[in-house]
Amino acid sequence: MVRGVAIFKMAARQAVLFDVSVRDSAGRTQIIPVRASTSVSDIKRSFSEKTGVPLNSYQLVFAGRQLSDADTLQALGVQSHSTLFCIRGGVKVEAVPDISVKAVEDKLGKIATDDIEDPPSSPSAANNRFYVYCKSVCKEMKPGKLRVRCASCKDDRFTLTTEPQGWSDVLEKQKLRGRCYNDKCGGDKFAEFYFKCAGHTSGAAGVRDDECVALHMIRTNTVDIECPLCADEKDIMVVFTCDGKDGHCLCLDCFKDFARLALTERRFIENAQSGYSIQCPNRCPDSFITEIHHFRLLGDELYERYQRFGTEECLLQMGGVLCPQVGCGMGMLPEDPGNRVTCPTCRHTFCRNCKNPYHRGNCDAAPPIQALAGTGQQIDGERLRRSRWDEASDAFIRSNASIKPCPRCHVNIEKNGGCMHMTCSKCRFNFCWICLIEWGRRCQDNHWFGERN
Amino acid sequence: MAGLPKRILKETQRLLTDPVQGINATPDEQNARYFHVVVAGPKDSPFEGGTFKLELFLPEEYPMAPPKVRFMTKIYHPNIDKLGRICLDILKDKWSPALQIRTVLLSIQALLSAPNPDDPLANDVADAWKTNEHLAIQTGEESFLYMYFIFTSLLYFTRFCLLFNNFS
Repeated sequence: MVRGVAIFKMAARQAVLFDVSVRDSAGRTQIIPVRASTSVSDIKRSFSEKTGVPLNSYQLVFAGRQLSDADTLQALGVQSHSTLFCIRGGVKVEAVPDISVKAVEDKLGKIATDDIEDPPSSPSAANNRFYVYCKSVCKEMKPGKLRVRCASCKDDRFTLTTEPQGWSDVLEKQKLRGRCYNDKCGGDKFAEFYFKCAGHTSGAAGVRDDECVALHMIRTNTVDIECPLCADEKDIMVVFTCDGKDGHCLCLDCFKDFARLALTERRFIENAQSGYSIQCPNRCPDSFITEIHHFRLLGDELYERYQRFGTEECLLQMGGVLCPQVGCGMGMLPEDPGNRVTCPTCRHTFCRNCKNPYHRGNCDAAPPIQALAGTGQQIDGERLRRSRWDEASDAFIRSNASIKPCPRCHVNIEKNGGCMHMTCSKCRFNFCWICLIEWGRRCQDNHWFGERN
Repeated sequence: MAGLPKRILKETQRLLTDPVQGINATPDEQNARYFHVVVAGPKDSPFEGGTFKLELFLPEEYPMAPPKVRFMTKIYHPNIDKLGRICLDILKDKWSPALQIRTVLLSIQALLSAPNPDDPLANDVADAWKTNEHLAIQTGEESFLYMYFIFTSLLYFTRFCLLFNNFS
């Protein structure tokens, strides 16, 4: 019964009419109504009837592959609003290796399983896809489409000579070659892969540039792997690259929790290769996430925070400072080595060491903020509001025993449990909560947990 | 066990059906997140032959947050204080959600075999361990209580005096 329904659905899908475009070398486009079962020869016939171009004088190209007359659109993975490219002459189809973009897409969506000899075939296996982040239209993770063009002239009339074997072939530039059919470029050129979103039709909502970023870590769980964090078998997994190949994985939901926690606890690490990023849960040394669009999956608010933290971290590593003024936080790289720093945005002048308003002499002896009342100076309303807020927050911080400044970078730190050994989440300084000096054996001996050991 | 995450159920099941040698962890009848743990002193360590009771609690955030583990049996070890609190990086900043109850307990067992005197919680023990490992091992074997440490130190001191007397 169920099988019957499935067959019926499949037949229904094949019967649906949709449009594909065929573009010739002059850039003229013909729209041809087709079904999934339509063959390439049928499309060529319609195209010739409409344009008068002799049937045997051209070939069709789709996603890096020259199409043979017997192929059906379903087998090729051609969907609604796809564009086929018309090349004059063209080599005989038999001479071109069989590169099906659909097969490559399937390969990209799978988890490489060297260690599983006989991967179980799950019902979702037929539906394995790879995913992209659609920035322009859908603004979320969507199944992706793989397309190829000439790396020199960016023309889509291009056929591949070698089939990509995996993500490295697709993502690394100047790796695979192919043949370009543009009259001005032409010949043996490097291939350039790009990605589109399968969630919306091309050219929708007037967006012309709707190329997407491939989320190469997101895969379909075709091998029934259990998420090591939640112990569930989920359909979509996030696979880290450990030791240069597919390594540790976790389900999409756990990945979001894992990354969210690491971000809010500021455990991301800034490094030259991957930027501000995290390792796999097993902390494999080379498993940092290199494609930062994966953090888009955390949602707009957290992604914005990710970008802010990343910029701050990078700036602090370069020896920069952040404006301590409430609501400002402007980053700057002061050239003057002195302690007096003035924020170029809000004009707040502060001490580079203690982040208090600028003062002369030792930071410990810094005088409290002087009231402007009676000095005859003009006070801007916004600043007054801010300073009141600031004062209230300062008073709260000072009165609260669970908040103390880091002895090195002076950022305020709240202690909500655990032992007296603190690590500053901003500058990574290890210090003693009681003595406010660098953590050492004396503190460990005397008051690790607050009382005498 | 209603509302218990699948991961905790699976881990509990595996701990019961496929236990690690020398480690016994059973969930509390009232609270499935609380485990009664018994670890056997590892072979060729000063703790060989001893059994050590621990308590392990899985907080609400587990596995994103580490389990809370504490020795119930008093133990003479440089990385464990007199209240049984353990100094082990994976229970703090080096925690990873990929670790499990099983791996945590194995790490604690390994800590018994290889104390880390450079990161000590009980410093007098660490100093004893560094300056005279033989003495510390003897002490560890003969007593798990601090009281016994003083007692055995006195014993060794007397023996030493006797030895000295024989020579003179």
